[in-house]
Amino acid sequence: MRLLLVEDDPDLSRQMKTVLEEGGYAVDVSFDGEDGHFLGETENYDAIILDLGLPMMDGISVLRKWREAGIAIPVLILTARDGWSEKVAGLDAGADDYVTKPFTVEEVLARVRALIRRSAGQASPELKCGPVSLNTNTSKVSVGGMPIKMTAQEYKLLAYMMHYPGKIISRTELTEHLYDQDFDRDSNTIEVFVTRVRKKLGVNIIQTVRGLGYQLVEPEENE
Amino acid sequence: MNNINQHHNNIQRGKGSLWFRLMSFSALWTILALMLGGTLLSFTFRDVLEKNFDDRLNSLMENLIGISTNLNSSQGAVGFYRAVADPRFEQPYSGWYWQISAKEFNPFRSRSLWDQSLETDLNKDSSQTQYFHMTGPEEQKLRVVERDITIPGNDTVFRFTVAIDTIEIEEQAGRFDTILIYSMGALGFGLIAASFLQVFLGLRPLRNIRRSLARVRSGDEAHLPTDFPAEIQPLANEMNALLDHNNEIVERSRTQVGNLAHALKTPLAILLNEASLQKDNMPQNMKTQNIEPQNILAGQVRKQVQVMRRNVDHYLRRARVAANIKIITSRTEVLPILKDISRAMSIIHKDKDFFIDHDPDQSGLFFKGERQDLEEMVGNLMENAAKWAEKKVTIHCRAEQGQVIIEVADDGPGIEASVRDAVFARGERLDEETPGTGLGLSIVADLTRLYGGDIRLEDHKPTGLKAILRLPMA
Repeated sequence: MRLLLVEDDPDLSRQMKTVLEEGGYAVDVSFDGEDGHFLGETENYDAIILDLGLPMMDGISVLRKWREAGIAIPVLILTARDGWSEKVAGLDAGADDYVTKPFTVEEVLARVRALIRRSAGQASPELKCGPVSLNTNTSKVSVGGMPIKMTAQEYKLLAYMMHYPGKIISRTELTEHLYDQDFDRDSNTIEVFVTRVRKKLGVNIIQTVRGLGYQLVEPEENE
Repeated sequence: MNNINQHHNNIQRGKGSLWFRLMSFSALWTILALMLGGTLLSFTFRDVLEKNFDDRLNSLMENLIGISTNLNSSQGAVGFYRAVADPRFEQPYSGWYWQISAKEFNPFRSRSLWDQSLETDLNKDSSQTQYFHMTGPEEQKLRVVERDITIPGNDTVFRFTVAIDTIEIEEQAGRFDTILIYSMGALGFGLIAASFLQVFLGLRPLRNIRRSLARVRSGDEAHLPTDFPAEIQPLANEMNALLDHNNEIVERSRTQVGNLAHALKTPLAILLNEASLQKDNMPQNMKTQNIEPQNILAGQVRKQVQVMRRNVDHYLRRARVAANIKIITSRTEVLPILKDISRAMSIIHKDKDFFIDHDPDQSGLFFKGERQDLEEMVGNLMENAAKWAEKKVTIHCRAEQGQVIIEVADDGPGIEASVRDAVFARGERLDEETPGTGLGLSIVADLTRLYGGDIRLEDHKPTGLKAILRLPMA
């Protein structure tokens, strides 16, 4: 899962990036409205965290432009606590949720997880596929109740696929959603990760669709 | 409120009243002027009457002198070649008398004198006509004219005296005075009534300005109107300037308070997160046992920053609301805010329904306070209700006994009666599982208290919690 964080305060932005990355997300950071708008319009994100008080272009305008351009990525806005007019304006402009400042990053993380789940049509934080279950809140994976230890990259790959069961996901899409902008992307690494995840899970729920990519399927369909 | 009432009383006791001052002065002046004028008129009239009377007396005497013959001291009688003009000289004690006297003579008298005579001092020189008053027969007050006449060829000095009762003058003067008193009274009454009207109309702009000021104070108007008379308008303009100045000060301090709040928020958020990161970086067992010194430090920083944040929020809010309540009372329409926030909530909570229920005639329901504060109170209540609701949040607003009542009800699990008060305490959270800062409801309680309102939690039937907010109405 890849996120865009548009926040002009460098300290806050660094802290959020750290916690979000620990939470299993690839995070791109932008420090002003114009740059943030450009990234949101050109890159493929799973969710965007947008501060409303930004230099160059304010958050509401950025949001409005994205929505006018037909970009439907879920957006979480950061507002002042007493700024209810701002919250209403932000939600009217197309935001999906808000967090009020000052916040703890964990709060933002929880909201982002819920947003991504909701936009993927998943209601529960516990994603299941056959014996495999993945908890988006705790970032824990288990097979038949037995916990599986995974690296950050392995978790990211599995989590993204578990959000979209049945969907054929290309290597490019996976690359786009698993790495941030600055990462040296090599689609071959995806193959390596897929193999490792399959091995760790023990059940083959990730099926290769020749020439197209990968697909998450229930084990019995696989048989 | 108490202070204001006391102040009000002080004004009413004040230093007398303008109305009383103007009215008493004008009434006193009217009465004095009329009395003086009346007296002057009465005296003038009496003077004219007496002058005419004297002229008449004089001509009667001239006539008497003219018709007298036989003025001879030796014969002891005066003859007239023609009768004396007025028959009243013949009726006894009619008040009309004449007398001709000379030394060593019995005076020759009109018949009206009967057995009396007019006393006259023949030794006094009356060669010039003399006018004076004397008391005549039957205590009549007589006006007397007398003159000494000498006939050529005769040494004897004859004194002619004519006297008429002044009752005639008294009667005419009395009649005149009566008319005078009535007309002056009517005039005085009219003048006082006119000045009453004048003072009443003259002071009306002052009453209007007082009423306008009361409306400004109650928050119905922002400024005094600009249609006062030229003498009052400068006062109204000055007051408006003062109101603007106050507004400006409030606005400025609010901006400063807001700036301070924003300036503090981000650093506090950073500190808080930094402390959290430190704690997160600890090994799992230490995290729970709080053994490491820097872990204790991180925990302390986190705790204290949260306390700071709450206090900063609380006092900033208090400063802002207090500034608003004391100086300027603004009004905010309730329904649009309920609609805005419930729309916003339904965007976030797509699976829940938000109903606003209000009486159709209460679309013009106004809260006596700032928009931002109402938004914060309603927003926090609705945020909380939306978080806990199963399916549905119901918002109801109405006016009741001069108060705005806003009810926000959810169909969630509700809160037990015994712990309801705790949710309003600052930073108190009944659940530690769901995200939230535990500030929402304490902010609502804080703001309602500052506005002199009230917040209560009740059971919502069949299930859930109902928050009832009472706020001053504008």
